[in-house]
Amino acid sequence: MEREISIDEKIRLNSLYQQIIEIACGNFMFRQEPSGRRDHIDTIAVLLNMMSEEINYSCFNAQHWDEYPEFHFSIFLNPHYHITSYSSGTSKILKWDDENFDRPVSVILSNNSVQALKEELQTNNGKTYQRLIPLDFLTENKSLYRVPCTIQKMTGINSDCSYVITAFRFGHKNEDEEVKENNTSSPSKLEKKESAATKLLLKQVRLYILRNLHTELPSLKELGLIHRTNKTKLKEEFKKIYGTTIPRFHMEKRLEKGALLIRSTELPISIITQKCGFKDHSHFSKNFRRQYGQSPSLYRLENAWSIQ
Amino acid sequence: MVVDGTYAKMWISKGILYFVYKEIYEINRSMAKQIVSQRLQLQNENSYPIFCDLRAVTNAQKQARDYLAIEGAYMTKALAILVEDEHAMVITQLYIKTSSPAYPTQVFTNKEEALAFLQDYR
Repeated sequence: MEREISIDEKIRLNSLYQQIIEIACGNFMFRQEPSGRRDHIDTIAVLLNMMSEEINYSCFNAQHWDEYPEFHFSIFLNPHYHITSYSSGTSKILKWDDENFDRPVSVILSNNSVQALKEELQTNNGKTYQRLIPLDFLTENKSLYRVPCTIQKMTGINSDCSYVITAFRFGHKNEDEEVKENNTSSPSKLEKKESAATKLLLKQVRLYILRNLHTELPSLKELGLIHRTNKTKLKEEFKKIYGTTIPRFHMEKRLEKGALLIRSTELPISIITQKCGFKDHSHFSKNFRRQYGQSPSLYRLENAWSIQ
Repeated sequence: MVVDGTYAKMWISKGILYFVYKEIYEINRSMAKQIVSQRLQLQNENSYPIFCDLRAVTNAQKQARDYLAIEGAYMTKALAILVEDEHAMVITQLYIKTSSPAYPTQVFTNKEEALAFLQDYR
């Protein structure tokens, strides 16, 4: 016998349908906030959120995000976290039915994002560098739209503008530039858009590198053979997807591992040198200095901290 | 010795590293880096099988998941993740499948089973 679906379940299922439609339309920033009931509908909602994240990351060069931020919209708040103004077009982007002037920020953000916003203002108070933090904006039908934002404290004579949330979007510039580049250089490149198989291959190569930070990498030719591809394709595609060369990526990650072990353990630098796949101390030290601007021992002196 | 870290309590007992997360809504990449750093500080020079109680964590961002599974996995022999229920079990399985950790990893809802899994890696 068919079980009758309650109105509440119907609303929650509709949200799931809507998210699937958004994904089908290519919107991978759409999120559902789970109800907290931890039932099957919640499980599917979380899986869809994670799936969107995975697709967005692997298909749209999300690794390059930090490099090409593009202004999306901004929202100004007064000292009581009430919305005072926003850039034109914000209502359309966030699909607001009404204007939200003079309403508390909790009307447009999820509870966790309101908390994240306040924490960010407390911890990042006055710093010139503003990092991107993801905020979940409420859109129609209580769905969430996740956008990377900076949150800043304003100074000046207008007390209505105490804080500003600046939202960014990424990726479009990349695509435009790519098309422009392809059009101007060689027409054959137009066909060279990476396939899903290439992306999967490059993901495996990246994983291989990350799992071999304790040793030197085989030559690009050998690396190609291990992954059943050729040196040229490997070189070109890796640069295109991850924005760096394979040897540079390997070196950067080995040094990051070295830095982590230096500040978190008491292992002698000589052992860390080996664990990070360097032949000798001077090789490690020279490269470490280049990336971190100081010698490994000085870095330990300044950054080591005790858990007790 | 029980270490009361920023995001988790951790200690080593009978060759297993116990790592119990405190209540966190969403782990981000900078939190993940701090978590790994504190774990390595406790381990100092040794690798351990890790019992990870994830029951108080609701979510983790993609970049944090990647960091914890790959770059943050130094000195991990094996990992048993303890979760609350079937809901968290399915989500954690997606995490394992997409992050491809290089060490043996399994998810459990039962603490004894999780610890039994780690016995072979001590």
